[in-house]
Amino acid sequence: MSDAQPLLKVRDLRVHFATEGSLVRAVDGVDLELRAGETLALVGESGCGKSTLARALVGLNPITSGSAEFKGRTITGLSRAAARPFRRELQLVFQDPYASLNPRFTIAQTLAEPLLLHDKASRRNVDAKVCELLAQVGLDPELRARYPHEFSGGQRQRISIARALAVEPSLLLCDEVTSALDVSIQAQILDLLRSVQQKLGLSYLFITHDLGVVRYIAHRVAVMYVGQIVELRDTESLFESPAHPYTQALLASIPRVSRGPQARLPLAGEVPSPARPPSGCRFHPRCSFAFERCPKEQPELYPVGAGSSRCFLSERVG
Amino acid sequence: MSEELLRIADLTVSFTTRERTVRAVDGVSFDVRPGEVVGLVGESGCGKSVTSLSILGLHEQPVGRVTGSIRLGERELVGASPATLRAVRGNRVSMIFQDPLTSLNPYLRVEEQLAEVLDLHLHLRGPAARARMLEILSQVGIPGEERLRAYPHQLSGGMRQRICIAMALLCNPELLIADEPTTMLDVTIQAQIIELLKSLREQRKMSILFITHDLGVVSEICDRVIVMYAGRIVEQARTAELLHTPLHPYTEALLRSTPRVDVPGGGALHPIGGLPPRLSDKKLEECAFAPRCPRVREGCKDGEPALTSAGGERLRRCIVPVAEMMGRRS
Repeated sequence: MSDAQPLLKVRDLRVHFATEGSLVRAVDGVDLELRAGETLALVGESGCGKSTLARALVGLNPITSGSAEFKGRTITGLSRAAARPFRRELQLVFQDPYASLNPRFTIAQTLAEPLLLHDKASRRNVDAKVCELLAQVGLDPELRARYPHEFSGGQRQRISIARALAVEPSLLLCDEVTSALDVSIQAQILDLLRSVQQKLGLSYLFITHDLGVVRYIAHRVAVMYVGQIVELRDTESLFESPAHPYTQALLASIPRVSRGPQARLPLAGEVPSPARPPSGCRFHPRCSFAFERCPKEQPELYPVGAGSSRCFLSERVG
Repeated sequence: MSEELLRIADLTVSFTTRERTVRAVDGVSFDVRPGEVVGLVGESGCGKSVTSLSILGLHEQPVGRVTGSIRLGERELVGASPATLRAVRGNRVSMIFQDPLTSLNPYLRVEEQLAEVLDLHLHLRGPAARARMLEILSQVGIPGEERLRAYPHQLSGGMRQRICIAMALLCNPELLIADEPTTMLDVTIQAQIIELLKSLREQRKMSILFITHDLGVVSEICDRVIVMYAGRIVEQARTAELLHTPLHPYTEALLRSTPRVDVPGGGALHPIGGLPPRLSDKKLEECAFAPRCPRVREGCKDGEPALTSAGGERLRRCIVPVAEMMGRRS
């Protein structure tokens, strides 16, 4: 896809946090593009920087360096006032629907606030808009006078999605939106997100650690490890022939119902701290393919098919 | 066949609040044999954790009322004295939980937490206790004395869960109850912990009651699976049978609503409509799953079906013919 400009374009983005005596490189040079109507999954283990990246894009984390463009206009380094129109375009949906809804607001109040704030409704038609939003996410508009505690986890996540949709965004950043839900409810929410995308042409940056969910919902996948993207591929190519050894290990670790118990060698060791990333390739201390070059030099993202992989082995192949 | 280690019969647990009484577990019966790993599976609120907490008598009294029978070997645990339960807990039966951070005392070093267990149950102190600690830590993959001096917050999530497992194993329990022990861990660490539990079970011939919502995890470690819904058992089978040919529509629906990593496009997803029923203390007038069941039919509304044998060790609570359940899959 080369025709239209991407919806979101991130260049060499870094988010570093200074803590006592060390610099935590939570996001350390990320490049990515997101097209209109596309779902890009951002996957990786705790602390890989996937949530920090999403939060930085909506201004919740300060950006250390690098840039992000949205519809061709720079959205990094803007003043609060200048950033405001972009805030509407990029909406974040969080993991915990219990913590992200105001317990003292009725659902109608929760949904009316962004509608009024961003002039998507007037006092007169706000109630009709609220009902419309609830119907869109599969909830009975009759329930709008109720409070969050009267709803189940899945219903609350529907309300959070309705709140994000209220301001007519073009990009939804979904941060582990189904991780707190039971599988039967998770499937309902995934179906809802898919149908909303088809109807409204939304793009999703979909952050999750669950690779089953990724395979179901994403068009492309970016795998992160210690603040960097190590592999960026079309979803099916990634699952059929993962290029980076970390992606391979990640896929092999997932228990699957079709496989049954089998002897496997789990990836040894733990994810290194982003305050002290290993030299050279950040994955080399845990990598079973590591050779003499890996601890010395940092690999770039080398092309693999239509995607890329940050591994010297991909350099030879690609 | 050897004698069952744990035998639960007609277990019912109800909780009384100011407004109402809720039966969270309703007439649950099952066994765990020596050396066997049994999975207890279901979604939030199905009663799997409440069942496991009853074994150790961990429900707050008198809010939680436990009836029925829980026998560990020759000993009856329902209604047992606090002293009897203390002798069982942490000694013959240990438990590990989902969140290792809240199960460890944040003020105590690893060493002090392990020492307390050894002192209390085995009256081991000093060098003997220390030797035992180091031995158990190396068994759970934490070599060296360095970690003994650490506080829980200085350890990673996977490391903390290893410490909890070490603490649970100090007294060589016959039964380990593991309540979602890998749910909070990343997949690569989850794989390490599952491998660890498998090898410990091999070495020690220990039984594990493994509580989880993840059928993938079940396939990795469990010999037998019990599926719970709305406080009751709806299906029980050997793991491979259950995952391959589920004979209860709820088990089937659970499998069909889980996105698959091993199928292009994540497989076709079939969400289960609606929500689990609100629990009460009344007798059910229909099958608990009927309102959400894709295979619901006339007879489903005529009272709750009984848990019946479907050949061999398989049990299920459903009136849909077995042939029909087996026919449409494959």
